[in-house]
Amino acid sequence: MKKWGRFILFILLAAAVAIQFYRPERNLEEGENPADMVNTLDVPQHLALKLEGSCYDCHSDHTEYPWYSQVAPVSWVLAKHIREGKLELNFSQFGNLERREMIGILTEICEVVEDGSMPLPGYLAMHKEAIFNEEEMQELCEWAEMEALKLLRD
Amino acid sequence: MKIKGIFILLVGAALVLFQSFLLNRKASPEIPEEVQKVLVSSCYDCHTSAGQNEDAKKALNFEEWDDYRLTKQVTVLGNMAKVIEEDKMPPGKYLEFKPDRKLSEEQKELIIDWTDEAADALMEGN
Repeated sequence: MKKWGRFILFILLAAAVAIQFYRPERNLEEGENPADMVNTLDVPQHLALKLEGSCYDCHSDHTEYPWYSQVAPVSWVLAKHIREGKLELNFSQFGNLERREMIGILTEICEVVEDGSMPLPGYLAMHKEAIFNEEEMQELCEWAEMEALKLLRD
Repeated sequence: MKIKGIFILLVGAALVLFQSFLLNRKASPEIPEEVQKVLVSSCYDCHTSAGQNEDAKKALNFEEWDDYRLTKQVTVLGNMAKVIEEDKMPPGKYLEFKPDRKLSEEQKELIIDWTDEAADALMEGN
């Protein structure tokens, strides 16, 4: 009986080590990007910082990885979130969108932050500072509507 | 005789006024009849105030269209084109019990072209 317990423990340990060898590609583009939203629109600096801190980990070409992101299977889960997040919206490529798409993104970033669906609860659990308080939410929405109207009338 | 003349004149004036009233109403952006028909049959069951699904109404309620901000209208038009293009709407669950509401390729094209035109009109007209 004791022998079996050891055997199972050994198998589990071996598996935990083995899965570390599959390492998903990391999202680590460096340098200034002219197409980034902060370089495309008028974004007040503190708002740009807020967006970078709260959204850019999954919605840009550069993720600030926490230490535990190196460990499988966490690394796999993060890679999936980042892949899907960028597919939906990539702030780094914002400038390459059509004007109408930009308006759509601006309208929706306000909506998803306001209804609490973004940032994701799991992300907030690990990044408490990413949450938008009432004041930040209101500022984001007013700014987004103003920029969207500018684009609409361009 | 004179009274009859005045009467005819008044009726005529009323008709002219009524007509110009109708024309004014038409001045607001209008949905072409064939587009409207498709929307009513394939979308309105969920995307009007009578719909049962709150999420559907929150995403889009055609009856509140005129209350949407311009930027929201542009956004919704883009989303309509996207979900129709990707066959995400009408959803499979709905089509299970109303299979005749599935959009044909022609209907999809009709709606998508219309969303493009309508969004362009909003962007140019404002």
